[in-house]
Amino acid sequence: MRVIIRALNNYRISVRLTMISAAYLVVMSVLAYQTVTISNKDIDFGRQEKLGNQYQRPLATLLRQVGLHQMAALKVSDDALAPLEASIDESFQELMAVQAAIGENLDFTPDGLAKRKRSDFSPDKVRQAWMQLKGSINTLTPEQITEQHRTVLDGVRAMFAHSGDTSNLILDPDLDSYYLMDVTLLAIPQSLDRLASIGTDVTTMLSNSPQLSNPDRIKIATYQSMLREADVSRIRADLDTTFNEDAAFYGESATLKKEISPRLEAYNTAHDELIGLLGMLVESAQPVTTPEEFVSSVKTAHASAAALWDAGVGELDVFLDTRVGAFEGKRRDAILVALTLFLLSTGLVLVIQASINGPLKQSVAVLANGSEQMTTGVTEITSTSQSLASGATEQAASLEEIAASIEEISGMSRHNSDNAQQATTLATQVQDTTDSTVSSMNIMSDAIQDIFKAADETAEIVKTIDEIAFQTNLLALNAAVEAARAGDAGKGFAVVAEEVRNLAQRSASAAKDTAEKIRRSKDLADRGVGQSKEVEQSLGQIREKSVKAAEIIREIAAATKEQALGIGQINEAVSQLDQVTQGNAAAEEQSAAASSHLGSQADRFKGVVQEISGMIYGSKTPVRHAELTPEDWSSPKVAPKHTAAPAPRPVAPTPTAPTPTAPMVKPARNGHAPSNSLTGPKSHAEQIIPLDDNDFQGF
Amino acid sequence: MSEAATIDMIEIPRAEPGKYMSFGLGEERFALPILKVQEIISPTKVTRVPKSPTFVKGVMNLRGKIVPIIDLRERLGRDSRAYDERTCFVVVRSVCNNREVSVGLVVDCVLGVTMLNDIQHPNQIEEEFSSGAAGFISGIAIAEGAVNVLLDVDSMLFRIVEGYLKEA
Repeated sequence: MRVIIRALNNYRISVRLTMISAAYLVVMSVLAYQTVTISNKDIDFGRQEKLGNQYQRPLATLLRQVGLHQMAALKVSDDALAPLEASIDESFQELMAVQAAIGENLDFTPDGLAKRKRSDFSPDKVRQAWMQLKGSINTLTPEQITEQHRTVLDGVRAMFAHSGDTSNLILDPDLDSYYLMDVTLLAIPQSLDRLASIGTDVTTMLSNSPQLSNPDRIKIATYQSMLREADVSRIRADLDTTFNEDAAFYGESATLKKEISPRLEAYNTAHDELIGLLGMLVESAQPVTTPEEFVSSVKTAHASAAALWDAGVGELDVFLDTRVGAFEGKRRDAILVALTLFLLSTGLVLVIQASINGPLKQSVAVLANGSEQMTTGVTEITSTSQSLASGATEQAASLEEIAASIEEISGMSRHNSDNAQQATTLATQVQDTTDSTVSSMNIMSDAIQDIFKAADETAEIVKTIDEIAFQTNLLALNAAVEAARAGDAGKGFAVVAEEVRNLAQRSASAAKDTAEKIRRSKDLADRGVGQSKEVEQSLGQIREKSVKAAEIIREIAAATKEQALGIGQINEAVSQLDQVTQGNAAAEEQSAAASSHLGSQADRFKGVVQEISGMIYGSKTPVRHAELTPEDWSSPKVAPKHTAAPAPRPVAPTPTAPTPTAPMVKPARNGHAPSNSLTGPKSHAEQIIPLDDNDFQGF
Repeated sequence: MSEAATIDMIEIPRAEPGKYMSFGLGEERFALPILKVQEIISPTKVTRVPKSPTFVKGVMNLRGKIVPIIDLRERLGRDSRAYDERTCFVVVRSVCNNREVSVGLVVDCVLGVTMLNDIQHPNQIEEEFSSGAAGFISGIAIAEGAVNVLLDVDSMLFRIVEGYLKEA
């Protein structure tokens, strides 16, 4: 079984499909052959029967003529012997001709005859017996004549029987033809024979004595009953059956009744008359008829039987022809049907091939493409996963740095929180200080206002002093005027007045200076008041801003607390990330290993695709498809990538160059090799895809 | 011309060296002979007198005596100004139509009593004076680095009265 499968593997799918349909065609052909053979057998059967009929025609003539000759030779009838002998010779010649033509077909050979113990009844021997009879007829006694005739007639009858046996007529399968055959092959020959005997014997009885003896009458009675029961009734019954069954076999014959019925009627009439005559002879002792009349009646019956035979054989031939035609038609139909089925199935096979091959080709193209892409993809996956793995390692390192940084940040955030606390305290202190400063400033402002008032009052006093000085000055002037008027007496007074005036003027200027100073001090106080107002405003702003600052610092403190919380969460997340990264790194390692295995599987897959394409395109034809460049199948397009790939591991298997002779084992073996060279666990790959070479043997 | 002749007819006495009371009008210093000065007072209430020249501010009550007050700024053709704490009324004694009268002169301030010795007279400086104001300048003296214009009260008052009469 396996050997056959291997042998079949060398053929394309289309060829295999053709094989399947060829197998079915063989079966179909055998069936058709059987049908044709059966038809042929039936046809040959029918034809053989026809040969039998052909052979019987001269025999029937001989039977009739020899009977007549016997009656003539025994002087029972007044027929002339010579023309009868001539026609019998002619009939024998016909027989010999028929024998030469179809004798062998009907087993009229020494062997064939001997086998049926009819060696004495070959046409030659019967003819010899006839020739002997004919040559010695004038020298023979009536008994010898009868005996000799009996010999010839028996020979003819035996030949009838032989032709009936060897031509299958006796095995005729149809009822109508069978019963007609019974008439022509058995009944009428027997009847003719009997009629000849009746004609000879009874006429002789009638001629020998006017009174019929009892034995004669018994004999006549026997003849009569034999003729009535064995011949006439049989023939009538046979023909009745034939008429009845005719329609049931290959349709009703157009000529049967037309040909048979009138002759049967004549036959019936003649025989009824003869039987009636015989009956009368049996019943009455007196001769009711002359020998001449009787012979005439016998001859009429004889002729009517012969005519019926001729018609019967003719119609039998028609039956046989019809049957043979039917079987020929059947055979033709069978051949036609077989041919049609053959053509149909061939077309169907071609269509199915196309329908299987087309999609298969496309699928294989897609698969080939896909396997190529798969290989490329696997390579990419491998390199990607390796770079991912290294990336994961870097990531892990970075994560450690991040964790350290977060620790620092956390410390800084705690520091910030402390500072914010201190800043809040300081801001509160600033507020207090500012408040006390503002109250001091208010006190100072009040003091300056007091100074201002005091200065005003002092200015009033100075003004008064100035007025007094002015008045004093005027008084001094007037005193000087009076002193001058007093002349010499007033000289001392003038000096005094002058001094007073000087004093007044000095006090005026002092008052003036004082007023000036007071004014300046007032200005200064004014400015002081303004300045203190500004200072107060500034302090207010400082207070306000310090409040705001305190608020902000509180917010900062709160934010710092939240920040610390967030940093804690970040820390947690980073540790989780670290775990994930380590997991990733491990997963990437596994994925790299898995992609390596996948690569080897992709190459196996490629091998399988090649096998399938081998099945489609034929294992001996290199795949050259419009959609598939040879590189797609065989070129190690991937190989340079692998060598250029940064991966140190030999991930890709060695590219499989398709060898056209044995495409089904190699890819599997090649696909298996790299998985052995892999550093990864081999058992793992085989757990994933548990295939080995044995599994690929099936392809 | 006739008026000028009449003015010219009045003889302006030449100022003699002696004690003078100096006072200020604006930037200038003026001086009066101290014997002409009756007394110096602070400005007091002045009652205006109808139909008097603009430079006559009115009259004042000086211890029962009615004294006319003349704004010397306006008399000398200057802008008048509001009184301040230094503004003084200088009451002078003058002889007018042989009658001794007291007249108050409003000055910006009183500067003091000064002995003036070096006095220049108007004829020496008549070329410098071109207006009628020169009609009562009795001389010019320089003292303590400043120029003192010496006024003759009598002629000044005469001219006032003359002008007053003429206006009337």
